[in-house]
Amino acid sequence: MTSAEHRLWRRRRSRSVGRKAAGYAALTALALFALGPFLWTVSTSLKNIDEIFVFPPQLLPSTLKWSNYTRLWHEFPMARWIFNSAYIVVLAVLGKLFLASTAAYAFARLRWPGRDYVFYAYLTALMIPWEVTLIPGFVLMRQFGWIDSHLALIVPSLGDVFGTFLLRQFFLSLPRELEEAARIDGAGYLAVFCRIILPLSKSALAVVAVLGFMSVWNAFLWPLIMIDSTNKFTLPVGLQLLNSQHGTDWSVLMAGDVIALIPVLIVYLAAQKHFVQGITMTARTG
Amino acid sequence: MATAATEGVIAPSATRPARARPWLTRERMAGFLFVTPSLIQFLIFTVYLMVSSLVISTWSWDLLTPHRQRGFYNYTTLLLHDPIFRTAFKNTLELTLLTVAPGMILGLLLAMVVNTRLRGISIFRAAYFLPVVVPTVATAIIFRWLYNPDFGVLNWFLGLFGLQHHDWLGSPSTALASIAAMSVWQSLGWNMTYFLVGLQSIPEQLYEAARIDGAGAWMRFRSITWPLLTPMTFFVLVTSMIGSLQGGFDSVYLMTQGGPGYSTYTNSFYLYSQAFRYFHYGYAAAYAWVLFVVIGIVTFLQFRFLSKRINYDFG
Repeated sequence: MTSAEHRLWRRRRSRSVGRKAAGYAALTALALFALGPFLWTVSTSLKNIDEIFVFPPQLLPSTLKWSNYTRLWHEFPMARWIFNSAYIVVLAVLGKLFLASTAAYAFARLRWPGRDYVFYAYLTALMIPWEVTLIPGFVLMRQFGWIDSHLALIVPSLGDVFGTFLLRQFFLSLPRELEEAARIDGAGYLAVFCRIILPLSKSALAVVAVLGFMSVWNAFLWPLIMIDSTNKFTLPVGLQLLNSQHGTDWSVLMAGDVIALIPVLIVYLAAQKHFVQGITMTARTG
Repeated sequence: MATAATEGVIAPSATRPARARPWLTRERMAGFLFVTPSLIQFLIFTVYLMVSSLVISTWSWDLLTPHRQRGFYNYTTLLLHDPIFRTAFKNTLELTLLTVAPGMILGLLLAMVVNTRLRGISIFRAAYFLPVVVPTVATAIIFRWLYNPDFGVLNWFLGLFGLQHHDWLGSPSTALASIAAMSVWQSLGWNMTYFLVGLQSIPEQLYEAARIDGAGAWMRFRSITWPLLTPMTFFVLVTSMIGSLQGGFDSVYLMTQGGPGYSTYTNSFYLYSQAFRYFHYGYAAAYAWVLFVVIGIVTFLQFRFLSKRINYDFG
């Protein structure tokens, strides 16, 4: 390398290092913008009251006031709400996976009279705003006697038209040879579905599970009108109760928020890959 | 004539095995069985509820006393004689405008920022996506605190630039925009990921060729990125318009309860109030159908006038 070339190389390298550093700085600033509100929530949840009502705001609490959390835990059935939300979401997502995958298999691989009409009806249903079924849904739940029952939160959410659609598209993309070989070996449709289709579709099923988790876990209006007893609340409705009863008790409110964020964060970190994949699949099929 | 003759010869023999088979083949049987669980759910919770909703929308009904059949009365009252409906409708459109356009522009910019191969970029992407995952209820409570007029971080931050304290959610002029700002912040991760999928589907060679031809960054964006991104842009536009036109309940309920005055009444919040506060169930059902039709028209118009401008060549 001549000295001129060397100088050029060094200049390029230092420029690219500088550019990288600037890139990371910008990315970090943006991350602060996205995560800042949550960090601020954690900080506020551990502050004493005299550190909350100050201006300019104090960045960090001087001592960590954990009693905000214990107070919240004693005054409200937070554990109960988390448990309710968790078991409802598990049952609803399992149900969604069952209904969506079986129907998707019937749409993608089996020929039966009326199949295409039913499928078009499903597609049309994607366009209905939730407001349309809100009132009759409430009336129906009343007729079933499911007001103030978790059944009202689980059963209506078992259907997942969009998930069915996603899975159908995915099943269509699977090669048929394996199934045909199994059929020749005498396997029935159920065996093909359980032993070939489902194992090949783990990633797509994970996507449906993740999207289903988000819609059930974050649901607010439906549980708000269905559930009356505090003990049966889901987490979002419980947070709403905190918000209306402790509207200005910021440290307790923020502690409630932090507790509500933890399960979401765990699921998100564990299944992060599938969240992104879910959006990618949504965009491709939509 | 010859073809007719051959058809006549071939057709019966071709259909013979089908005639011999029973109507309910194993495959058909399996099809019915596999679709049944989902179909029952669909018939009850979509088809039946739709019909039921249409019927209820012609009633005057508080659920406690017997309903009265009122024909189109709910619809005419809503469309012609309800000033709050007009306000809610206007607010919803305003909220849509304030969230969709900034959300898409910022989402695209963010996607372009994270569309690099810098090490650790996936961690940053994960961080930017996090607000999407958090329940709106939790986010709304956090933003109430950030917007707090006396001790909120936002006022402190703007104060650094010499701006006066402002009651963001408490004054009619800024309440709706403040809710919109939260909504943009919250959904930025969605838009970023969608646009990122779009950006990554554009072949790299196009940029290299353009660079060799001496095209600058803006030129490359104008003539490659933007046209090839149009399918994704259209998809994001349509879905966020639909989402926004039917949305805005959780945040309004938790942050302003529609106030101050009626300044943050959105369609979904007013519909909820009509049903579950004033017990006008028929009226709310009619409201929902009006909303459905409006969303349908808006979506149709988008397909009608924008889909021609989409470039599918490389999408």
